[in-house]
Amino acid sequence: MNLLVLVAQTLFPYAVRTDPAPGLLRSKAESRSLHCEWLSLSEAERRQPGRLTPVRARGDYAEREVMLCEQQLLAAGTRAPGEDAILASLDATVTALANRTDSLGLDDRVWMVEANHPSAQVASKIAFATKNALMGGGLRVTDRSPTLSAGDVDVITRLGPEESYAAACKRYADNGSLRPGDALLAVMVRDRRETALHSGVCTEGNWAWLR
Amino acid sequence: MSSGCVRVYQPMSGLHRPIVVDPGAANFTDLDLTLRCTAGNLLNRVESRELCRKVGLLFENQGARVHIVAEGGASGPSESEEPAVEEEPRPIALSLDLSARKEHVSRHPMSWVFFAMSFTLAPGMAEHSFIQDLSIRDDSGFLLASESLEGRLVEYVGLGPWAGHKLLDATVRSKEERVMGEAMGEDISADVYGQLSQILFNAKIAAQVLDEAGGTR
Repeated sequence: MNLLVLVAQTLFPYAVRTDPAPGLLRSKAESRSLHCEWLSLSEAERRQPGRLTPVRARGDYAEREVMLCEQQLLAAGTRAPGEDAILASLDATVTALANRTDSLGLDDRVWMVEANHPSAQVASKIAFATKNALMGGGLRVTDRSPTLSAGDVDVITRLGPEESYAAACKRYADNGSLRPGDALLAVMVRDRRETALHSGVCTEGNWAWLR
Repeated sequence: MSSGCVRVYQPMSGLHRPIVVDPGAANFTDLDLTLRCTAGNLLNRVESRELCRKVGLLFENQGARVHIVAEGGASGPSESEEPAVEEEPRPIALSLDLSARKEHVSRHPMSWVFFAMSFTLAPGMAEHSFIQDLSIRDDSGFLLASESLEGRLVEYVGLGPWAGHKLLDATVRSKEERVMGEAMGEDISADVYGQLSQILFNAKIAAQVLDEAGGTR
């Protein structure tokens, strides 16, 4: 069977669906739904054990490389592009964020997480992933959130992002919803056109941008 | 493109990430951009200069003030830049370094044997992957973004693939799905320019945040 596929692939590579490039049987849209990378044989065996013919004891007659492709979980267009871009790299983003937060040396604090994104569902996913990453880093995390009065919200939402987070942080400390033993990690999108997340830390009324 | 040859492009990693920014909008009116393109094993010095010119034009069309730095040369404004009307310095100064390299070249020798034996009905096949490296720094040299965008180009030669794709393009495929003619170049340009615009925009916002952080970098 393998031999048959190999011969077919050599004779009609454009017509065999094993090739992820667009061809007679694979549309451009299908090809774009794959994330592919070239791997050495040993790395490919590590990631997909049992799917490849292993290297013979005396080596192969030819050098083999493997292109490993993974299908995206959701079809293109299911989510808005901005949400898709953020959620696709969320794991890596929050892991880096947790490492950076951990390096601040505030291990004795109880961490609250606040995520700001135009979509409430995406904001909740960002907050959940961030809390998980912080806990994975050994920090104490709570589901509590600091609160603002309606008057504070009215004033703060009129400020630009460069002022609003610092102002909110001060109000959190003043109204007692962020206590001296607490720290707040805020994760947000600053502009609807960007596909990266920013973050800042609020402790005792002092705001600092992390990235 | 020579007759009997079909080239297809496959984005591998980074090039087909979703983008939000509209490359046709004025996204960089507050940006001073220094652009450097380095020649490598994919683009020679002339091609690399041409890439720089096109990328410079892309960002100028989005409102940025672009300075192209020739490889091994001094900095200067790009050719298409209009004389500066306003004397005020732009608030955000970034530099973008671009270099491209060719990876994983394969000529599939057995396919060329069958190509000859089948009187070109079976395709001769060749492929290579390319990687577009880019890094963006602020005026203090702080690294704001570093990305590698990877794509693959596959070339089929022969009557069989040429006729098959020509027939499908003419009958079944929508305009976006066509692979013959200028489709490959247009697809690559759309992906590369779209990603460059998005990455530069993200870097611009990151630079603003770091400026507000006031030395926490």
